[in-house]
Amino acid sequence: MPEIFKIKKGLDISLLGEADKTTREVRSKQYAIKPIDFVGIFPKPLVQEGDEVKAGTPLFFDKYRDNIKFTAPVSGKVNEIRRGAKRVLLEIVIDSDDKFTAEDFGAADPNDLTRDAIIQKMLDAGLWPVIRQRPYGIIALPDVDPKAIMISAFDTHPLAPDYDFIMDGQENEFQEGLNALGKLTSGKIHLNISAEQGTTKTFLNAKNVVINRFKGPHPAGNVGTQINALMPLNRGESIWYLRPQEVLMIGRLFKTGKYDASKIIALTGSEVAKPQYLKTRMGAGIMDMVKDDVSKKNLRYISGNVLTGRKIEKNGFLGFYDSQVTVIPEGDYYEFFGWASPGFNKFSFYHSFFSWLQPKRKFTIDTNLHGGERAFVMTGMFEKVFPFDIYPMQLIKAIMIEDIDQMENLGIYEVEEEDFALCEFIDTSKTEIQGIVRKGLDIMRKEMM
Amino acid sequence: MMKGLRNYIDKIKPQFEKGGRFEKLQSTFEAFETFLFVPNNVTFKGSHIRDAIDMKRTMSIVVMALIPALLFGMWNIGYQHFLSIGEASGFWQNFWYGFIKAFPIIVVSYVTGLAI
Repeated sequence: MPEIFKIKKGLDISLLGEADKTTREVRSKQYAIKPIDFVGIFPKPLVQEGDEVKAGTPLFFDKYRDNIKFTAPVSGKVNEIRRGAKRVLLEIVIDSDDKFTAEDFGAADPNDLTRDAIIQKMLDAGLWPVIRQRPYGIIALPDVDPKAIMISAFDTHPLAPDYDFIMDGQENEFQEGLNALGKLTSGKIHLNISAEQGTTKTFLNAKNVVINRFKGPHPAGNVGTQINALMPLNRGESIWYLRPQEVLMIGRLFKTGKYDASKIIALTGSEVAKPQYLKTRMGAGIMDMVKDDVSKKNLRYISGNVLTGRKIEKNGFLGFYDSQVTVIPEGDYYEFFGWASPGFNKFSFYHSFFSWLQPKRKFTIDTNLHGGERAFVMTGMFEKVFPFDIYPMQLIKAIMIEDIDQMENLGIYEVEEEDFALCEFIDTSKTEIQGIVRKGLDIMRKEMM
Repeated sequence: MMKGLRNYIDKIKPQFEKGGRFEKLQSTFEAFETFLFVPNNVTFKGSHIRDAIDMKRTMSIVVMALIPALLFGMWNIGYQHFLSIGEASGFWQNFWYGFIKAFPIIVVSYVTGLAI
């Protein structure tokens, strides 16, 4: 029986609006790729408004790593190249022609190809960005041989999609993707599954991987937690990681020679009338998903989950790495004596409210900050939701004073913002912890690379 | 009543902000405003949802937890005082003496905290 890794620290936030295990197809009218989804790139567009593109046609590339291209997920016409302040490239929006024609990069068996040939095919198709690395969370550097490749096959974020449901019946493409990835590292591929829920044969029958079982509350599904439990990172080492659907896309590329950006995502949240799974594609516009399905209040649309996702408008687009859209109420109201009220309907980690007495209850949480920003207080609470062997408070303080040696000693190479999301959630002082961690990672990246 | 109170606070708020008449008392005003109403700020960056806890509630629990120790401490000041001068004293005499000694210290610390 393989070993079960028990994650003892963390917090499961149960919210209303979990997706039913039914699927419907949604064809969005527009799709977009957003350069801000990628850490540390300087995008340079390769297309202009009005150009016709196919799935796999390059849209922009990274100025400082010009072999890394970002391609269109669907065929159609470039509608708009949206820029923000200081001409920062925000989105390249494509009007879909609904035909989904694709560039042909040539089908091939990864077992017959060299490492460089596999990498080149993925770079040409614009599929290389699906592989990210720790440290820093940037797109993986193709020239580096990573210590291992991690695939987290379950997601413990609130209302996250169930990958066992999504990946069922897709064994062939998944294995093809794993075969390609196996050639990219001299280490092993680790497939991390949950020990608590039933697992699809797609994962259990996977070959040439090491299967690890994890048990415990969120953040057990985070790749950072899994890396810390299996093989902590040291200076100079890197580990690549990706999600199961991204492995499928790689598999499809080698099987068919085409970039197939199809994805199953979960539409979730307390304000969605019928939360369920949707068959769509990377970068899809969410208007066609949510138009009649949400309540009429002031709402927050999130690409991703409530802890780490990005705020988008109702006519916004799904993020490159996201498999979920969450819709929750905005909390822009004043609450009379809110801090003193018993708060029977409020969710809290702390025992000064009463939600800890009702572990099976699901809550509706809105975006209210519940208090103003205050100075840090050493409550010792971060350590209770942070399963790493790292002192979270001290690391955050080291980042705030930009002490590089201290950041290194305290383990900044192992973490990313999502690992601190729970600390940010429970923080009494309402500090922007994820922003601080990203700033620290950017400082280290500039220093070390 | 709550709506009226909220409207009144919104009306006088600009006087406590930068450029207003009572700019120096801004932190005091904010303390009283957040005492009455939890602010309507929503999350902007990072996690979209936050714990219902805030610093006021945490510190209120801290204050409540400290009250038994405080009451004992007040009685004890009186008890030690009368013990050291060799006089007999009753329970309430001890407590009143300790209260007179401790209360100004508490008032000064709270007033300073609100003013800074």
